[in-house]
Amino acid sequence: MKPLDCVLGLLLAVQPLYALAEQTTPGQTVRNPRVIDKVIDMGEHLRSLTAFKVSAQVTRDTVLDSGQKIKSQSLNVLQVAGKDRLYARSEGDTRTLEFFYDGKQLTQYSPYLKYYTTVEAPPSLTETLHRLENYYGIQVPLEDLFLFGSDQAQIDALQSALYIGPATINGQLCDHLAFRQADVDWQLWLTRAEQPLPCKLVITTTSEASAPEYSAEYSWNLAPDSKQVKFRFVPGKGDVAIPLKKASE
Amino acid sequence: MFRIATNTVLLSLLSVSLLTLLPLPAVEAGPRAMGHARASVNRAPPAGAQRAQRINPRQNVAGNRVNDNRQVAANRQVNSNRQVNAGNRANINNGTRNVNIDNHRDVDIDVDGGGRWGYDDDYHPIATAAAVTATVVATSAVVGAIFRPAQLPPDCVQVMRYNTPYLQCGSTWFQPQYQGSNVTYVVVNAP
Repeated sequence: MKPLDCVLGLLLAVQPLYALAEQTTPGQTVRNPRVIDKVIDMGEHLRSLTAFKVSAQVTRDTVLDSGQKIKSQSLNVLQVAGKDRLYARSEGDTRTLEFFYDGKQLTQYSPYLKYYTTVEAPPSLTETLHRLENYYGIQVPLEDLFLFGSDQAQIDALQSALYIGPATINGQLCDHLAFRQADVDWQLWLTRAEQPLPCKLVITTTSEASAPEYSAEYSWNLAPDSKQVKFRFVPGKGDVAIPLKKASE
Repeated sequence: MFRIATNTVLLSLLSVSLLTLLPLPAVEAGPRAMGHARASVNRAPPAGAQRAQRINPRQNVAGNRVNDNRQVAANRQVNSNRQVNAGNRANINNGTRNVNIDNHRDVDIDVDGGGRWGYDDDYHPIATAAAVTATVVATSAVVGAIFRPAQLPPDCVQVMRYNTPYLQCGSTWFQPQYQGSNVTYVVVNAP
């Protein structure tokens, strides 16, 4: 008699648990509108800045054909002065690049290889970056940040947008947001300070079996000194120009 | 006995109602945490476990203790997992360092930067990156073929002709170019 009762009791207890679990199975997605708005606000704010310097400590996984992931690091700096001057540097374990733009020409430079290429550029930075990407397939380091929430298709592509909670990054209180879209999951930490600047970004490539990740932690300077910065490239001794192929070639 | 059984039933019924009636915690229905990424690599070893052995024996050289920094630097180079072998740059500065790691890499990842380890004076990015996959190439190079840095043969020299840089690797000539932000090398006729 007793064992039967126990089994009965267990069955009764188990059933609703099961039902509960079913209610929250993965199928449900949440697109928290406040989270989406935060991304749009951040993008707009970043695009409204006229002078700033942002540095980012970046790690990025490389997947070997064995499936093993290898993390490489880089230190990236992007400095913009007005709408027509930019300097960027990405110093990495595997690749180091510098970019110079002064409203007339843009140079991509590999300081260790001593190769560079200079192209004529439109007078506005936005237009220049746009052309650079579409025509040559080049993205300036950290440029991605300034493209968040710029077009609706990008927002519509978000399958889920979650608020995870507060987090402290480098001593700064930030809100942790998480997003999901085709091929990538990404997480953004946004400061709670007055200006909505990003603290950190993590991108997980879900289309790859081993889900390699990119991670960047930012530090911002909104009143940088740009007097010492070179926005126009002058080749030094041993620097040689090499051709820049169009993306389509 | 019977009483206990009844209690069990009652208890489970109670838990049932509690579970059904209690509102969920403030979290809205959505994805739930299913598991965590591991936060540690190692577990505490069981008693008597064999101690980890270096793959390459430590060379005991008198005078290593003179300069702590030097030892730290040496460790870093070992940890960077470059294959240790009898490289051609075995002894740097003096004989007390056990740095005998050359720039040979065990993986085929394109690398442009160099000399940042500080003991590699005549570093050539191409030759270094190419060391791994040097077998792939060059004899069959057709004009117009494009190579990644790691695919180039190991014995290249940079030659300037008409203010244009070329890499001459044996009888094959390459011209460096940017494809986006990547440097690649296209096979050309001898200039």
